[in-house]
Amino acid sequence: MGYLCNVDIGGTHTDVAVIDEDGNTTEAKVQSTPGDFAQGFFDSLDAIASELGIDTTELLASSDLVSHGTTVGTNAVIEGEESETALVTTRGTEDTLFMMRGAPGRTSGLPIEEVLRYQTATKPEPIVPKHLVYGIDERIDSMGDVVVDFDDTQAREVAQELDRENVESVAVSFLWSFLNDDHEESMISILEEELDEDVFLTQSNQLVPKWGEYERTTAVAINAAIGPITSEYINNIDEGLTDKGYDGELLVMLVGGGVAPAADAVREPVRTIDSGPAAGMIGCSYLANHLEHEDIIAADMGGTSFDVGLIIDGEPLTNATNVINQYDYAIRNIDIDSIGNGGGSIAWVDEDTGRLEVGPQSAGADPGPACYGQGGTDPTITDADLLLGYLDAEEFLGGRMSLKVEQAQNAIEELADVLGMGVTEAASGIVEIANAQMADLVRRRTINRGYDPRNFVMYAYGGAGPLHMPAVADQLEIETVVVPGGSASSVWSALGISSSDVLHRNEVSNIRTVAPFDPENVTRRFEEIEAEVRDKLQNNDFSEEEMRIQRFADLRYGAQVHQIPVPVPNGTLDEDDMDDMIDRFERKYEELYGEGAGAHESGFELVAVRVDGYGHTTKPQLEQTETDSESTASDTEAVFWPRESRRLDTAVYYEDNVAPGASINGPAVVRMGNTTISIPPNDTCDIDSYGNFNIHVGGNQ
Amino acid sequence: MSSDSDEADAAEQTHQGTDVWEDFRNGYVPGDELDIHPDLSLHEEAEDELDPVTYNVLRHRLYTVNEEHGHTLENVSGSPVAYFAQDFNPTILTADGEVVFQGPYIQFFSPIAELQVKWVLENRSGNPGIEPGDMFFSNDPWVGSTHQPDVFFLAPVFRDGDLFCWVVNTLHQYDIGGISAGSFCPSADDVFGEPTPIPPTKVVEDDVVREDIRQMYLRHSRLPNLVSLDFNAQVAGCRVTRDRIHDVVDEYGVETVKGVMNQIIDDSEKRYLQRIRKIPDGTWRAREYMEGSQTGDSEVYPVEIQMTKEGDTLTFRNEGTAESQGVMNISYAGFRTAIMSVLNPLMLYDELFVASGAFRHIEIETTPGTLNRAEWPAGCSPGGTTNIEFSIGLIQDVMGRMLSASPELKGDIVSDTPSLSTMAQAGIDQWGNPFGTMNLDIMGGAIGATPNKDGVDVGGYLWGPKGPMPNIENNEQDYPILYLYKEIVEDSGAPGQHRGGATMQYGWVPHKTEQIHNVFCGNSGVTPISAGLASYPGPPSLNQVVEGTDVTERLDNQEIPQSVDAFSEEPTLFAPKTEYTQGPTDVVQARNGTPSGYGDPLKRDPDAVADDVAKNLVSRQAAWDIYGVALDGEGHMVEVLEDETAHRREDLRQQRLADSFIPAEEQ
Repeated sequence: MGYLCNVDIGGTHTDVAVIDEDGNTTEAKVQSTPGDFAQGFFDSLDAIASELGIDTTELLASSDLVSHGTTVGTNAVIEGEESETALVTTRGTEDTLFMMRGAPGRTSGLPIEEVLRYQTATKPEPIVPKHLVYGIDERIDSMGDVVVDFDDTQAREVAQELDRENVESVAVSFLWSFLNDDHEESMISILEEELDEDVFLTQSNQLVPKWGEYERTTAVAINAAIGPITSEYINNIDEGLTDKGYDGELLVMLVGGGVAPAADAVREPVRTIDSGPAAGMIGCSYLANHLEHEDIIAADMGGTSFDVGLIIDGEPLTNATNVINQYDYAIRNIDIDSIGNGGGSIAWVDEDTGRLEVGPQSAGADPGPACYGQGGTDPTITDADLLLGYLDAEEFLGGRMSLKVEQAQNAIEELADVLGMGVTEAASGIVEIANAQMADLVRRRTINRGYDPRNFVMYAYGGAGPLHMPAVADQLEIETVVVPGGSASSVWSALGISSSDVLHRNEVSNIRTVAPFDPENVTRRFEEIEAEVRDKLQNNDFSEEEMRIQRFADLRYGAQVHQIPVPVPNGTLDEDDMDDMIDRFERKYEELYGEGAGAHESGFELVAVRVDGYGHTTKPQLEQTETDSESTASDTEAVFWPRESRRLDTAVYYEDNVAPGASINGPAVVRMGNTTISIPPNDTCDIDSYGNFNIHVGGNQ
Repeated sequence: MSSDSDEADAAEQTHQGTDVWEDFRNGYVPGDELDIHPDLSLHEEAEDELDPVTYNVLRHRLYTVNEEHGHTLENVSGSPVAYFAQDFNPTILTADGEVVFQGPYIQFFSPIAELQVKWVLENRSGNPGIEPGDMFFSNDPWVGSTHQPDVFFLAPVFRDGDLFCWVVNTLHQYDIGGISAGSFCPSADDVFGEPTPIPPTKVVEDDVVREDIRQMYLRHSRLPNLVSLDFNAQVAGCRVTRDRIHDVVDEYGVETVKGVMNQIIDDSEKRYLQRIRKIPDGTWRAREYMEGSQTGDSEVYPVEIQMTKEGDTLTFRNEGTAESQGVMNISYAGFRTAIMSVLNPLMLYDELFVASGAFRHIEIETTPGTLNRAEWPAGCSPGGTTNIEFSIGLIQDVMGRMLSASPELKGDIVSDTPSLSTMAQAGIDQWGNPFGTMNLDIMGGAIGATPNKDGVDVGGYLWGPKGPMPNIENNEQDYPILYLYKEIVEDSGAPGQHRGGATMQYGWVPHKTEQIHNVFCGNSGVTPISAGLASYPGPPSLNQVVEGTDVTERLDNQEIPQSVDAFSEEPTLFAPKTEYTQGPTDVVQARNGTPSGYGDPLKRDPDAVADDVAKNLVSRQAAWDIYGVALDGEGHMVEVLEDETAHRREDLRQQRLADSFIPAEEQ
């Protein structure tokens, strides 16, 4: 077995992680290159190859798998660099994308402070310009029946006009197409006949066969808008890799939690949006499987944001819709909540109330925190971390960067003066507020949705996660914090890609079957969509043994709208399976909304069935040889611990001082190549054979 | 024991409560001191030296707990009203009834949760008593509801035997009785044709639902099953949120959390005072007209308000407002909540909409027996869907003009809020089951303009930060209707230097059913609100029908009609309060109202006008007539002809001078 090579491109950094056959991980970070992201991709391969002491061709020639998480699509939407895209839709619904269901278009995805501020409220720029939206006289109704026949002549005229307009891509979305897609199919055929071959086409019932025209149409429109740019990019990478000696398949990370072969990914690029954080979650899920952890809070604190997702019974929670630029779109995604609370988040004082606030504005990578000495003057969380003694000013990022203590001092002093506090007190306040905000987000994700955080293990990663999470965990009474892979935790999303399987998903919604369910009928429904999923996996050259099929059913109480997915066993289902399905639904409902909240007297409805089909890919071997090493602190420094409100003599370790098998007692900090781990007073930490730092909050093991 | 019963007697004598029958007639107005039974002990100790960090942490945490209460309501409730339009709001209040936080959903539900809680404290603390594990429910407009379909559930939260705070939710019920399906009853003459007002009643006792009370309540409804799911949702919401509050208190201690609640309210007061002190004293007045007090009435009735700012105090009066008419009235509670629904977005937008601190400085001196202060038994059920929003617009008008008197605060103006026209529908659905709903496409309203920017097209309402409108497929799934179109209306954004938000309209026919019964309840045809800040009002809401059309043949011939004007028959305008039975060939079109713009359209950037024309938001005709902008180009390729525009604008200015006249008193 050769190398597993993973590249994850973010807005500021491109992370690369290479795993060799012994499970050794090598990581590197290079600058992202927003003008031409492919440049950063190959830069990162050069960087990691030189780290390994080989050249890039050699690396690629001996790689079993190259996987990639890309932000090209996300970036195109955020920066408004989409292609010239047209939308063909049912006559009378041409304004769906502009109305955006009213208030959601003004508020989706925004922090509450902005939601409440009508003085600055706006809707985003349209994905498709108004003049490129075309209505066709055709109509299907809520039972899938044709009310208005598809108008071929009109459709052909529209197609010809699109040809004259030289559009680069076309999205087709008709009402109720998920119940009857004859009209959409006809439209696509006509477009294929009339338009150049390189025009990117996307059809709603192919991409998202789901109820709700707004969220379905935004999904196809976004897919079309970023289609040309993303497919060109992926094709470039694919060809570049081949040129440089890679003879395997390029796998692309998707937000739903799987990877797709490049050829599939270029058809559905909307699934690459937000795939970076999803990759991190899959990495957690993979590791959790080895460590036998079932319920995990995945906490990723980077430079600008803090992302949280949950893994329940070993599986990441997913969400049926996602949001970008205030557009809700129906692409199932690994459910991750985010707030603007990263190392670069700016601390400020509200003039009127005198309240100390942290974020959501960030100093970003440029100018960055004041201590970067790149011209930033606003105090950030990183500046506070530095003044409190966690970071090594001289040896930051393994010595690649030195931090300017004086500039951090000046930035925070200004804030401290306004607050009438000392500098250390202010720095400590910044850290406490930042930690509290993150704990709040975790609470929102757990307690407020019926999960008790005390039953979870927290995985802490991202550049700033391992430093801040032990204190956050303490507030939530979480007993164990795992810093996955030690230093590798800073490129955890890149690593996560390599642990993802190829995923094909299929679903049917709006079934409206009322209990008692007929097991034969339900089995048939699953088998129908399963067949399609298996076909796709077969086309990707997976054998039957390499496939894993997972079924889900969405149930609801009769007369209710809210539906909850529950897992369903594979194979032929019987009466007992039907009863189990309902039991599981009821249990989950009560967990979420409390005892007695359910309404079984109104009966049960099966609303949707879904099949996830995974094709097994080569996985990293994470386990390393355990050594019998004793860790020896390199020094003792006076570090300020906010919860203790004072400086304590704190053992300081560097990467070379620690190895699997070692244990460390708090208070301690471990300064690694790309991250710093804190072990608060009263906590203990051991390093396992995977190189994970397991921090036992309060010292219990 | 005799000494115990003596004490009990003594307590009975000192505790009177309020004059409930006076409350039920004129509306409950709490005094400065509440008369609470001495057996009920309120938690009072509070940490008043909070460190700023703990304060901010808990402030966000409590907000989140309250906001998530909304998700429980949304998910457990069965009704599309809750799920697709979030027609609800949760509220946390202090032990003595001041609002700590209200959710980001329908705003006018929360400020009057205060009235409900205070009334319960005064009139239920002795008999039947307020105990841990209890919940009360109420929909009485004379105690503190907007109208009867908006039902409040109130749960006291106790710590160590003391009442610590309240958790409340309000959820719009599709139907809880009255003579019209949907429970806003334009055809009623007074409250006796409406759903019966339920004063606060103990419905959960020691954490057990009182089955007798629950059945009494569900028995009012045409669709008890649907209301039963909402009932579960409201109980579950209170329970879950009560537990969350206990978690917070367990972690931080009673006194700290109480201190945080107090400071949240004090902070909002501080913010209000900072702003109000930047404004000169004065009185601002507004007069508008309401139309149609009940089905069959098309008279118009004046509503006037006066807002006086003197020192830190804002006083609201209603001299000149017509006497109560038909059923379009609101109670004291309705008018009061309208004030808070404006104060929050205009003056407390950075205090998470905590209006209770500011309310310490607000006086209401309205005259009973008027349209905006109903005396029982004047009807209120349509008032909750028309008069509340109308009053919000009126108050926004005076408050906006007040802000314009302060150069520093002028930028906080949002032009105004349109009146609403709601529609309940009932019949047999395409699956053969009885159905009833309020069509929530009304949520596709628009946001007004500000001195710095345009309004938001189909952006919702000022009183519903997060309330969405449903998809066509959501409504067609649950109800037997076929939408022909649902679109943004050209020229509906009110002209101005900054254009008001444009609105939407939709046309439909009954589908796979014989007929649909529609209950329209709006305040449409008359001039909508606009004064002082804008040159032009926004077009009002409007409902029309074309009867007996050839729509079926057209659909068969591959044509989907796109307007009520597409037929040979003339469309008929509905009166604002109408009940109408629609057959399969009757095409009804409903349009939502719009807010005004800001400033003079002749000052609008001509390129912005060209952009609006390119997007079909403004017609070429309006660009020329109203904005004075001359355009070149076809379709979406629109360019400004600069010289012609300058001339046109000069001509229009000259025309204005020529058309101007001397105000009456100077003639």
